[in-house]
Amino acid sequence: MGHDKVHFDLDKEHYKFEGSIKTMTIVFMALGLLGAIWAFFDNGGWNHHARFWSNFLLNSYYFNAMALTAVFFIAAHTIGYGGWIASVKRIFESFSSFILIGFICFLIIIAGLWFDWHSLYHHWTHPAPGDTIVGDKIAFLNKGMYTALALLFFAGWILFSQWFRKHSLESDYMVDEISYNQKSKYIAAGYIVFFGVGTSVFSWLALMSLDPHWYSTLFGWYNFASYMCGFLCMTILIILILKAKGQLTYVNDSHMHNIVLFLFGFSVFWTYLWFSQFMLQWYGNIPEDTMWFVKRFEVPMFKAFFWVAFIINFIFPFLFLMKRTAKRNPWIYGIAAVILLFGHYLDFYSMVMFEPNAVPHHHEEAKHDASHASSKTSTLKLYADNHTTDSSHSVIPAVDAAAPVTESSAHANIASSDHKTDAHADGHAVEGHHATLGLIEILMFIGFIGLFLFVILSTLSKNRLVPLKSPFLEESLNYHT
Amino acid sequence: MSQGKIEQKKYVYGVYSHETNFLDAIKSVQADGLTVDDAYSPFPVHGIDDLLGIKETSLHKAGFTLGFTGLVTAFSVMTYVNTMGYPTVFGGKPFFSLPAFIPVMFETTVLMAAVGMFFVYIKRNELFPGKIPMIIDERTTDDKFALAFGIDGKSDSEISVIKSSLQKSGAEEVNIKSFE
Repeated sequence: MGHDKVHFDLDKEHYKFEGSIKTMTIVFMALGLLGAIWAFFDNGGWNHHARFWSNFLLNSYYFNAMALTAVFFIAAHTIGYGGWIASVKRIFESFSSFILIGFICFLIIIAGLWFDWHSLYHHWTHPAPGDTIVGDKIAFLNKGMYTALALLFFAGWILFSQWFRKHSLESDYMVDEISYNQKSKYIAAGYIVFFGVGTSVFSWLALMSLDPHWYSTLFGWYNFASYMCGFLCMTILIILILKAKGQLTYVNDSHMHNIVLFLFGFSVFWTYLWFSQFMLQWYGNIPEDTMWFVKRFEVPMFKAFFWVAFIINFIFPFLFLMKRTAKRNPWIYGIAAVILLFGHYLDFYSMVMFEPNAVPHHHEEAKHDASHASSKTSTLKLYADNHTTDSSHSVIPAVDAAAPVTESSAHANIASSDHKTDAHADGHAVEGHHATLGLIEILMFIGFIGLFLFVILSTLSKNRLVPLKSPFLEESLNYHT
Repeated sequence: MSQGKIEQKKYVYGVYSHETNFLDAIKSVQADGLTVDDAYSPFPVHGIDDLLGIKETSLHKAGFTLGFTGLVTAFSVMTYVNTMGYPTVFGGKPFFSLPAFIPVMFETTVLMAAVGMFFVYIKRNELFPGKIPMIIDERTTDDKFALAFGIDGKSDSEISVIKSSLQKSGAEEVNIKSFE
C-alpha cells in the first residue's frame, strides 16, 4: 500500500556464503570435473575428444550468455526508468563476475582452435577441397577473426559489466547519486548496443559456425531468447536460495511476479523465434537451409529433442505460469525455473552437439576413424536423393541418373545449379552419430551450475544486498502490483 | 458488494480528500460491522481490492476462451479450404501444411481475444456510448474519494448508525444522494 512506507533493517542485509549451499556448489563442481574427465576419455577420445569439447562449448556459451543477459537486464531497466528492480539489482550485478569465467573458458576453446586440440570447427578450419560454400565464408570464418572478435567482445562485456558493478557499489557512499544515475543511463544505452551486436555476432562464431554450410538470419535473436529464459530461471533460483537463508526479506510477491512474468513472456518470445526459424526455412525449401533440420530429424534423439524443447519451453510455461497466483507461489515458479533451465539447455544441446559428434563421411575424420564410419549404415535413406553424386553411399539408385558424376566432378561443377545442392549435401552427409544425453552431459551441466552459483554467491557475499542510495530504492521497496 | 454498479436508489456517502484517510476509513467502518456498497476514487488505489474484498476479474477467462475460439476457427477454416473446399498447391507443399497455418492461427487468436475482450470489458463496466454515468458525487472524478452505502428499505435508525460511523471514520462530509 502506497501510504504505508515499508521499513527494513537494510544494513543487516548481508549474505554470507557458507554452510550447506557452499558445500552443494562445491559438490556440484566436483561432479562436473568428474564428468569432464570422463568425457575427455570417453570413446577413446574419439575425434579429438569431441564429447568433452562439445559439452564444454555448450555449457561455457550458455552460462556466459546468462551472465551477459543479467547486465543487459540492468541496462534495459536503467534506461527505461525501471524502478522496481532496485531491490534485486545487486543480484543481477553479481552475475557479471561470471563473464570473467566465461572468458577463461573461451580462451581455452580459442587455444584449442590454434593448437588443434579439438575439431569443433573442423568444417572451416580444414575445409573440404572444392567446398565453395565454406570457401566463400573463409574471409569471416578463420582463426584470426574468431580470436580477434571474441577478444573484442569479451573486452567490451567485461568493461561494461565491471563498470556497472563498481559504480553501483560506490554509489552506496555517494553524495550525488542522481548524477550517477544520469551517467549510468548513457553507459547502459552503450551496453545495449554493444550487447545486441556482440552476442549476435558471437553466436554466429561460436555456435552457427559449427555447421558453416547453414545460416539463419535470426540465429542471434533465437539464442538471445533462449539464454534470457535461462538467466531468469537462474535469478529465480538464486533469490529462492537467498530467501531460504533469511535474506531478501524486502523482495515481495510483486517483485517475483515481475520476474516470473518476464520468464513467461520470454518463453513465448522464444517460441516465436523457434517457430519462425523453422517455418521460414521450411517454406523457402532451399537445401542449404533445410539440411540443418533434415539432418537433425534423421537422428531420432535430435528429432525428439526438437519437440521436447517445444513442449518444455513453451507449452509447459505457457499453461503453468499463466495464472497470477502461479507467479506468486514460490513452489510453482521454483519448479518451473528448474525445468526451464534444463529446457533451454536442451535447446542449445541440439544446436551445439549435433555437428561435433557426427561421423562425417568425406572428411579426414571419417578415415581417421574408419571403424566407426564403416560400422554404421547410412541413416540417410530419406534424403538419399541428395546423395546421387556419391553412388557408393546412396541407398536409392541415383535419381539424377542422367548425370552420374563422381564426387570430385560434382565439386568441379559446383557452379552449375543442378549439382550445387548435391555437392553441398555430400559435404554435410552424416554416417552415424555419437551424441548422447548421458550421465557425462548431465554431470558437466551440473558442474557448470555449481560453478555459476559459486561465483555469483561468493560475489554477492562481498557487498551489501541493497543499493542504499539508489534513487529508486524507495519505489522498489514499496512496489505493489 | 455490487462491484461498481448502481443498484439502489438512495445512498449515504462520506467524502474524503486523501487516499490515506480513505483507506483508514474503510477499515474503520468495517470495524463497525458495516459492509461498504461502493467506493469511489479518481485513480486506482493500491490495496483497495483486498480491503473491500473485491474478487479478481474474470476478464482473462473471457480472453482465454475468445483466443481459443479464434485459434480453432482459423485452424478449421484453413484446413477445410485447403484440403476440401479449394485444394491448391503452393510451393510444392502438401495441402495440409500446418506450419503455414500457424501465423494465421496466431493472428486470429490475438485478434479475437483482443477485440472480444474489448467488448466484454465495455459491456461488463457499462461504458458503452450513450450511457448516462451514475456518479455519486462529481468531485470523485477530480480529487475526492467517497464511500457509499445503499439505504433502500433501511430504517432511520440504521441510516443514522451508518452516518455516525462515517463521521467517526473521518469523513469531511456525509451526504445523501438519490438516483431517480
